[in-house]
Amino acid sequence: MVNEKIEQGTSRLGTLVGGAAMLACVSFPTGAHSSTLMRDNLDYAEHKIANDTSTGSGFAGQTYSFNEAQKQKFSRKENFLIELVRTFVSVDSSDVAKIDPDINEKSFSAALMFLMRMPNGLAIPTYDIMPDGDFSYVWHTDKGIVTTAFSSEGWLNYASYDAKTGNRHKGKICLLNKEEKILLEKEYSEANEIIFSLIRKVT
Amino acid sequence: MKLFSLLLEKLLNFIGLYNSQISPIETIGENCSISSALEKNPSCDPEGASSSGVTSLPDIVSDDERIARVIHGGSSLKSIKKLYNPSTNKIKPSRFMDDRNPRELSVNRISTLTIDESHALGVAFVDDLNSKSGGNVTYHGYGELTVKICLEAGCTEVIKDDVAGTKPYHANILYPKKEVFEELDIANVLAFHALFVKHSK
Repeated sequence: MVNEKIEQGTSRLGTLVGGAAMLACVSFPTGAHSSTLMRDNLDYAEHKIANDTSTGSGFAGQTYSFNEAQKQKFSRKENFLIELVRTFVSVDSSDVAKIDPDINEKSFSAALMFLMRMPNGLAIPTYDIMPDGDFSYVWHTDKGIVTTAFSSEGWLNYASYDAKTGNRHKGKICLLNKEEKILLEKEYSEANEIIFSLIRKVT
Repeated sequence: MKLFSLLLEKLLNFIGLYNSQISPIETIGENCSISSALEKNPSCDPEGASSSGVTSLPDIVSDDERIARVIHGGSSLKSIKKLYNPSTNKIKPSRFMDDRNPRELSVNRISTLTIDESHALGVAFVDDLNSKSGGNVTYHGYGELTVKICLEAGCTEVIKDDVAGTKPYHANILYPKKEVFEELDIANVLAFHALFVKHSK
């Protein structure tokens, strides 16, 4: 029985991650078409969740939870991903998936994509929401702090502060190609090298 | 007598026994506290200090002054997590960011106040906010910093802004609008150094 539930949970997680990945991959094309694509994919992800044996997720009043055995099956990164979707994605009365109005959709999508590409051994961040609605991750320990904010235009803005040395690093990385259609692996690799090394210093 | 007081003040300041920047001579009233003001003590009303003729804090906000950034928002766990990490009590960098130009971070000058009095300022601010907007914002506490930290982080200045004497403890941290990553950098340093003094209800 427990194994069945774990398998169901894993299957649902796969659907969730797949839906989030689809959402993230098509989120950057600009214009009305891209917004429709994003909504369609978010709807798809949420529809799958809502129609599973457990109830749907989000702040629209429905709850969706894994038991402890299921949670242990998932990595900390996966659990954090689930927490983010549960916190900021909801299904309204018309069965349409929506993102928390306080955050930018494209920013949130980019952040999910970044999280999914993080190595499993890296410390899990907390989240933060900028005054302009951009979604960000924060790694904040006694050693220092690193913040990565994802803009709607496809920029990853980052800043870090090493408390021991007083060193501060900051900059921005473009995560789109010139056509603004896909997230380039090269740019992600560059971001990985810079951002992850900063994170490892404070965690 | 006045000359003697002035000479004594200068002598004590010279030998480090007296901080003339935060002079008790210049505090609001005598034996006057925010808490007693909130108890509607008619003889003690920091909010009306200007009208009663009571001296306010020094015009210049010195580098060693302690300032408090009010942390307020919703009361749900989701709302709290947007303000600070409830597991570690570390304030989120966004609490030290602004969208005006130049950027303005509203703070209270708390060097002369106790923790309870500092909290009372925050409670009064949130109550005022709720009464004007009809909202239900919760006061969670404040993030304590020094002016020196703000300047080292990259802020331009911290200036007194007592709103025509109605808010004698109020000041603003100022810095110009910059690139997002530069503002993140400032917010990071402020968030790291801020001591979160949580309000116990």
